[in-house]
Amino acid sequence: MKFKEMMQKCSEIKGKCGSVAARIKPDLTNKKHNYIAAAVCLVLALAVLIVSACQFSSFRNYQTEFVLREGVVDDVLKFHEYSRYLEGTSGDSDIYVINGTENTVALVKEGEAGNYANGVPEGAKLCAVEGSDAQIDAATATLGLAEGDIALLGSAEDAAQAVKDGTYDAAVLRHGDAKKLTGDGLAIAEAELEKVPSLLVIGGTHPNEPAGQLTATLFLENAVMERGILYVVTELNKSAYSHSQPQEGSPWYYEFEVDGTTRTFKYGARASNPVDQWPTPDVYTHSSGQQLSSSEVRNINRAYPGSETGTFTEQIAWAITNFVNTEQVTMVIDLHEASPEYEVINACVYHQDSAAIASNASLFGFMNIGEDIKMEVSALNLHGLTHRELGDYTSAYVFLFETSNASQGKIHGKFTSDLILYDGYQDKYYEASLEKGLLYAPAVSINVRVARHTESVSSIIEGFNLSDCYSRSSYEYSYLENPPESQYLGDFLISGIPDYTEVTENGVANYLLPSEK
Amino acid sequence: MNIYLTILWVLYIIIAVVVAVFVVWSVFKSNKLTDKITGAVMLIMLLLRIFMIK
Repeated sequence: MKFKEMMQKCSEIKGKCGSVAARIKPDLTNKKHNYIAAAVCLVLALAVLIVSACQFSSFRNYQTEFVLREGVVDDVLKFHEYSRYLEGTSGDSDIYVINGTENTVALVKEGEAGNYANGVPEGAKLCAVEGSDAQIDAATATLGLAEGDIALLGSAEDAAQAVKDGTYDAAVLRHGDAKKLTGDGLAIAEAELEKVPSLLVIGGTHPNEPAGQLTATLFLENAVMERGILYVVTELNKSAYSHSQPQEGSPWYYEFEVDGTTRTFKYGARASNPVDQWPTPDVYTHSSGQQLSSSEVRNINRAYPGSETGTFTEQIAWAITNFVNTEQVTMVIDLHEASPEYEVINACVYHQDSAAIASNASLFGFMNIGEDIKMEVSALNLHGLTHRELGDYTSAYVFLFETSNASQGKIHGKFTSDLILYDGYQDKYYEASLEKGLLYAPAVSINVRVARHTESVSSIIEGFNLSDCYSRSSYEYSYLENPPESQYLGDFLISGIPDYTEVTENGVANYLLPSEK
Repeated sequence: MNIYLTILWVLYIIIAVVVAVFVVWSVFKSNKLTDKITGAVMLIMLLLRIFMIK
């Protein structure tokens, strides 16, 4: 009876709606009514257009804040310095540079810094601080000097004054001391006085993989460099941060509360914005001849080594390849995430010439991480990825890491920032899939994902230090015409990075700096 | 390569503008309310692309 009453009520409501609609429905055969109806539709469309355009534009132009510690971040390089057509475009990202305080540098007069661009000029008179044996030994070895060729002074300030006075041409100092003495007519010369290892940490290759960007940000805002050079990219594909993945309905931002302030990060798309790069061909043919489906033409991790005159995405990839070659970067670590239903997950993918470091990291470092990290050598026949192409087109050791990200998958329910962070939250569909054994890895919180990445990067550094600290010696499949000789670089010394336990227990927000906005 | 992409891009925008004009014309011409609403919705997408917002 109840069902019959309900059906009767529905018919009555339908009848009432019908009669109301009949009264207000315009007679579109009447020209005037027709034009009015058309105008109303167009005005409504215009209103929706203006609102959505403002929102899309606001998201596209929002600049994520990365806090640069004063006196720590030495330089901010731009992608266009390595791929000129990116200047003024949305792909012109930043590369943050942090030099080790113990690195050996030359302090010279500002006006003469240009003379040191290609090395210390022959016959230059050098001084150093008495007792700074590491710096003196490094400079002596690099420049081929004899013992006693470098005059010894009492302090860094004395050495700086002697350069200012013209008594000496350059002061050989610790980078930490030289930095404090720059300005007032003195500058750090580009000349290399010591071979040190360098590391490029890449986050934001795929903006829908937040742990990559957050880990890079964590390094940028916490790393204390003692020896070596740390390069950090937090938004590799900035164009992909200017839009969201079509048909996903994802939130645009996710946030952390840090010391009473809010740090806001963007959740973007996997590939470059089609507004920046069009057309999308039916088949994407990589420079190697490999053919992939159309959407991959805007995926930067299928565009390496890239090309300065190629597509927009290839130009961005070229910026990284050229940067690694120009600066002779020792190690490159690309941080990613993958959906829990994807096979290559919780993995370290390494270029075959980086096997020794990867093995050391696996044996001595990854044990600190809660779950196994699968070791996978980069496939020779899959082109366009960092671990393949940067390994073949540069002299760097290259690694790529994946963690488990529920927001990237297709099984999830409602798409909210809770799904992205997965912190104190569980998606019932992923949990059910896990119970049925349908996933390669469980969905885990952002704290665990960032913890895995930070521990992975630290493990690679440890792996390098344990492997005798030489630059790359093997170039079996390399496309480099004259690969550089393997050289002793010494330890890469970094501190201030929290370990796996600290990040999982204290949370990512604990290691972000408060917003300065 | 870049010059060909630029030419294609310009042609694409011109075609999008022409299609948008025809959509507006059909919104006024059509006697069906559903056609008008569909045309208005299509116009939003076209204009977002013509103005390179989305």
